Amino acid sequence: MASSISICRACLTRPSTLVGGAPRLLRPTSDIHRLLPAISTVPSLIATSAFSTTSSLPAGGGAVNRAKLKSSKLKQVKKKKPKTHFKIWNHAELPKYALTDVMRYIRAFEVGNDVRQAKYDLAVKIYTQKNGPAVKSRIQLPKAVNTDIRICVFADGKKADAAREAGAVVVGTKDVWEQIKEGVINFDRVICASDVFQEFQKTGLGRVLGPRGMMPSPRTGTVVTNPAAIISAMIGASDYRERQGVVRIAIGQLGFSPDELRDNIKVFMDQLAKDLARIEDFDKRINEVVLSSTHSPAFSLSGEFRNIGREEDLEITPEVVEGAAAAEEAPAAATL
Amino acid sequence: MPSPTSRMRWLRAKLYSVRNGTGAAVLPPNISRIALSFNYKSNNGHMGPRKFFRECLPRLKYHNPEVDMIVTRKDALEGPATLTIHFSDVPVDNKLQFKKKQPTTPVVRETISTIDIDMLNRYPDDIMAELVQKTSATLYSEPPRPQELEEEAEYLAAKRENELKEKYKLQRADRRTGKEDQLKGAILA
Repeated sequence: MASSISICRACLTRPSTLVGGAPRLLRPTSDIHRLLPAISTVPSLIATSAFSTTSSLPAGGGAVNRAKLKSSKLKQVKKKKPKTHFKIWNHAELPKYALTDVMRYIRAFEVGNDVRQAKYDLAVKIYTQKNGPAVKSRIQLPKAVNTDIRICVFADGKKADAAREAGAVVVGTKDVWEQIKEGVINFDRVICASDVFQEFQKTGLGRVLGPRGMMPSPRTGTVVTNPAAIISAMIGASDYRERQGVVRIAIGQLGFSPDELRDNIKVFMDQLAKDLARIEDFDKRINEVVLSSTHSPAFSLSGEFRNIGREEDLEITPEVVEGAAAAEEAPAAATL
Repeated sequence: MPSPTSRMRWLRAKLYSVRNGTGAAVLPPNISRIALSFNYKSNNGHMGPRKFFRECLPRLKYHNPEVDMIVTRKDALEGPATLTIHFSDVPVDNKLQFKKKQPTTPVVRETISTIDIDMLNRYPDDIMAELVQKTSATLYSEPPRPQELEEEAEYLAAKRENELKEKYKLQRADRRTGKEDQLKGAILA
């Protein structure tokens, strides 16, 4: 108790008031005050110190109890089995939605927002161990989401011309590096040709490009002999990785039609299934597929494109629809 | 990822509120576009338009997915706040297209005529009423829930209330005993 220094625990009064007010100080009930008979005559400094020592007695008792509690808590924690897997839930009875229904809701929630900026996000919950290999890959979707990626290429000679033709925005070597040093960065990705890589390393641009995640390195595949070849793969490709047992990816722009979005989801889910199968010795399964967007709530997908009989009468009570969808697609939406 | 149960509870309320309320109306098929234009700041009577945009427009969009809804906002502190309704030819029946499963390409429909609604210094309900009146839209109301569901919902609500009551009672009792213990400890010390 931190207040034990300033407050007398026996009579719940402050020592300062005790010292000042003589009649309140000697209460017959508190033993401590009886032990200190000459308080009114003692200077205030000594009086306070005397109180601090007395109050430490009961406080010490409390500390022992707390220590005991702590040790008992620790024992309880030790008994618990550590969780090896990320938690998954049984969502078989919960409502799931067909893709067109979800899109209609999401378009309503996103009304008035820029259809190019707002994105459909797909989150795939995976049944997986907490440690072990994680899924990390890159995919070329049928209809690209990020079409406005600006690529910079460090190369000279023929390679520079080829890169420019392939769609690189900024191409060059020394003049570009000087621009970057001045702070002119108008691109999102950097590729370096392998023959100028050593020269580039001497410039010390890692301090500028590193924090932005644009530093080229052979390990990430951004230092190549022929930059033009991977530019086309980079434009329109999107990376995805597993974090906390969930794979998230921007699957489409808000302006995409249901068919385009369905194709994107299909291709992504196929590749993800292959990725999961490739990891041997570890049991990884898709648990749930959730579609949301930048400003909308998240919807669990049922795996259907259109709810059967739904387009005829759009005023079906939601409970009925939800029940039907859940009953049909109880296992995870791997059928997408 | 949050648990599905917690997600769903929240989602159901959200979806209900986007289907029902002010703005839930089905527009006639000859309307191709609704354009809003107002300021970012709510000074000088631009609060109503903003509320209309935030509350009513999602509902309108949900019930009219085919209608374009465009929102342009300005940085100015004054100026007009208007809602423009674009009328055009009645398009080919959408339901037929769905059945044939043709690839639906976004067709830009030419506007024949427009109607402006002044939104300045008005409440969203008021703006919506004028919109409904000028477009002769049909208001949407959720069909009543079946009797069984209604009963179940009532039962669940009562159950939840009782559980909460019990919980609070226990909490209060705990607090009281805790206080008494503290007092006792203080007196003994």
